[in-house]
Amino acid sequence: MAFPDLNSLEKESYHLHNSDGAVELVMGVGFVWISLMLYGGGGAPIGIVPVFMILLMRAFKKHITNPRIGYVNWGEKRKDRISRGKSSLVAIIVVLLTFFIILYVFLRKNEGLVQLINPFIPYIFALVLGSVFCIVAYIRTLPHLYFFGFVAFLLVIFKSSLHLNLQSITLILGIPLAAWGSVKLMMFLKKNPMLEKNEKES
Amino acid sequence: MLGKTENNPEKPDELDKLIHEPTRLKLIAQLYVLESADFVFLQNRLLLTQGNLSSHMNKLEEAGYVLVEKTFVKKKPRTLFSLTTKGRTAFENYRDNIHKMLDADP
Repeated sequence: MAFPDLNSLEKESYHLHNSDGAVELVMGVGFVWISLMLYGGGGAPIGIVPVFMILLMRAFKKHITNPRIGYVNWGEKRKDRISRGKSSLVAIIVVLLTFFIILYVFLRKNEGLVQLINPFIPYIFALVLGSVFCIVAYIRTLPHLYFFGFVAFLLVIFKSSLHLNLQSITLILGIPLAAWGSVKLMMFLKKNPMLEKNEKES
Repeated sequence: MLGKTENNPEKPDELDKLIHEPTRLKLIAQLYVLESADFVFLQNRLLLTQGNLSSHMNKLEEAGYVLVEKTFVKKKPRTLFSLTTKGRTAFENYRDNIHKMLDADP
């Protein structure tokens, strides 16, 4: 018997837990929802979407993933990686909020400065959107999300030349993500039938 | 090299028979890389039957290698398994010994 490679063993376990398509599905639904809110206009409360996404993710893991493949507390290395990713995500959100508060409070009356900053705003958005994808990819070890991050970055940068707006960009990102997640979920459900009922507490 | 004793700290160069059994080796290796895991996860990962997993876990628990924690999450039972310090040390010794054994010149 080959001696088990401990790193691969840990990675395989983590991949198994992320093979349910939850991340892609929840992100996809979130982006489509944001897009619909933006199309609706009128100061839609977009801030509730991430909260909804977190709740949906937890419910998904609790009712779909854990009963099928079991519950795990990850080791120290994995926990460190997850907490580093989460801290970066929080830092990005804080920096972004601070930036827009400063922009709104101090610069709204200064037309000259606003015009100076305006051309850079798409780049900031592109960086933020791309980074969010990359951080989720890093936390969950899902390499294809780096690609989505790169596409999101390019779409925002070239939105004028592609005749796109924020609504269409979020829709363009959301639909394939949700579709990807749905396919992964169907494969996961087929491969992992419910096991919990068989467990008669040994 | 395979001693008669299953866990003999006085003979550190011997392979621990309790860990040497392939299924238990996989179980211990799996638990070594995690903090804890429940019954369903281990059953799923190692493709074992309930009876088989229970019997291996009982042996590991009796040896003091595995800690079994039975909890209830919203009225549903959850059995969590984790390696004890003794279990971790035993697995590390086993790894060292098997490496020494395989690296030794014939």
